[in-house]
Amino acid sequence: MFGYIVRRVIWIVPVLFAVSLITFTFMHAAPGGPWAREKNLPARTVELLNEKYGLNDPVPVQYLRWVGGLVTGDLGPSYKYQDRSVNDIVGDGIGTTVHLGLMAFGLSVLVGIPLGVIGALRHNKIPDYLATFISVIGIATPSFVAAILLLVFFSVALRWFPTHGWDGWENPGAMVLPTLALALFPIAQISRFTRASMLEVTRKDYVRTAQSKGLKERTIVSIHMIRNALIPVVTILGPVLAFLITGSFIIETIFSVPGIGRFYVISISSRDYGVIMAMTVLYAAVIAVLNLVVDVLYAYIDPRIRYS
Amino acid sequence: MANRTGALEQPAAAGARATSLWGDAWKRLIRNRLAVVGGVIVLILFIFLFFGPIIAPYPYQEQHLQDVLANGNRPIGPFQGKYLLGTDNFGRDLLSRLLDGAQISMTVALVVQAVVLLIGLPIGAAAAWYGGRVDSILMRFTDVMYAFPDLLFIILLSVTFRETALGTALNGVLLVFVAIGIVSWVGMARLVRGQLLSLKETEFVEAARAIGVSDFKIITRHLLPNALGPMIVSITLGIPGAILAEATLAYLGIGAQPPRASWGKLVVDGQQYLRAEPHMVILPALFIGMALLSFTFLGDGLRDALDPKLKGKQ
Repeated sequence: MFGYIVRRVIWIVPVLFAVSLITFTFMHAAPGGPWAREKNLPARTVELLNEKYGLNDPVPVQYLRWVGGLVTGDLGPSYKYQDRSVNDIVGDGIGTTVHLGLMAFGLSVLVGIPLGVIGALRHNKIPDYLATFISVIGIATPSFVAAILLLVFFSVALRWFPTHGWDGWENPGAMVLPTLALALFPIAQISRFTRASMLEVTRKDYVRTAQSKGLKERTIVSIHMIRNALIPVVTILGPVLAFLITGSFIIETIFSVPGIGRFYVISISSRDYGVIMAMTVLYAAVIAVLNLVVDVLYAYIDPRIRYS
Repeated sequence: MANRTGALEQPAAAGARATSLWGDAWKRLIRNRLAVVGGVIVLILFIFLFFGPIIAPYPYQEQHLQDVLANGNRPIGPFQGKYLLGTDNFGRDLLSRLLDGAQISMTVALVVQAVVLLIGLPIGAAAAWYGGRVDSILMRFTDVMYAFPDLLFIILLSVTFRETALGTALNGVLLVFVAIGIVSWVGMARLVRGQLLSLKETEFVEAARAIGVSDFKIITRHLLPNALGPMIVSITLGIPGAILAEATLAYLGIGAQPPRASWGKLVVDGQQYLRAEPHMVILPALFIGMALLSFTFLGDGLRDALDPKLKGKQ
């Protein structure tokens, strides 16, 4: 097991290397450069800027320079926000993005799993229909639609929550709507998955054995059913958390949450090479690490799984 | 996501009973009410894809500014006068625009899944059939693709190739479709590989090999038809993700360019009139939701119908 984990951790490095190389290639293949603004800069200025930032060097040289910077922890300059380095931009925003992602993750798990369990235990009864209804809403509503509707209803009409901004725990009210809008889809996903898994467990022989030897319903559900039913659910929690951290940029944009997600679209359209690279590699690392964590966790909680 | 964790290694049903297997699956499918409703809506959406411009009462880009001015320079609400579902602020008929959006979304469904099949199927099949080094190289490559943040990569691709022939085709729509397909094929490759790996060891494949059938023929005639069920399910359940990705990108202004009316773009257009004229956001949101749900229900139904493990139960 230990050897397996070490091999997987080491494997993340070439994966991230490949991701960064592909991104770098496409990025530089895109027409235009970071200096193409609305008001065209004089050719001489562009020339000097390219000279200063080494953008006239061959692309492979630039890539190696970027890798060198990455190894020493320097993500380079931002071309759009020239008074800030990429380290500053990422450092300022990553905490908020992770905070928002974790809040939404907590909400999805705390709501999604009970919904799924109740739905399966009251299969084809009113609580099941209610739980299914909630997950249907979650599947059918894209996060940007949910965000707009929540904004208009709860912020503009009822004035319960602010329309934008984010102060962490200083202002908990501002966290409610972004978290809710982001968590809606994962709630549906987790509850559907949990429900299906619970229903499958219900048919297992060991549950029938537990019932026939007269165990209390509560014991059967909590010890025999839920614990087994949650094993496959764990496998989707990694991708769900990765999605919540890397996919929050729409929500960040709509609610003006100062995370790093909202920089991505801007940085691509303004060819802010350093920000694009930093975010892609950072997000890829989040996805790769969370997948590894899930695989290891899976083997840990289910003794039937053995990696070699 | 489900593909990684789902029943990758389950044995496929024996080939000899192929016809009755599909017949049974069909019977199970039409007994599933949600799947039937989903299937009917999917059919209607396909009718919109091919006949949308004929059904539409007006061309989707045609502006009726006079009527908007007569309405106090505001978008016309639904069920008033000659516009069934109302208009936007330019007096463009909303029903016609929603139908154009349906055409875009259904094209997404088809093109994205075609790209997924074209890339994922040969890669998964080659990895399973040749094994060894080919397998590990191809699977390492899917690891890399898997680590890419999907939407970010789509945005990058669509910006990079915006000015090429592909980028300008169909008002910029085609490029986004292909980009979505390029990030989505990994699940299909893994699914095909898993299916084929278990089928490869069966006796009918051994028999075909023994009498000298070529690799290509064994894969296409014997292996793939037996892996078809899970592939159909995966394709159907992949469509909502593709439709959602297109709508989200259109919301950000990437993909279909004006005057084309992607559902995501309609939501943006309606956003500023949300309090006075909520139909401009609610209607496209309903269409998006309906499309996402119908494919999800149909896919769930297909999975239950094609899964031999559930036979006799329910």
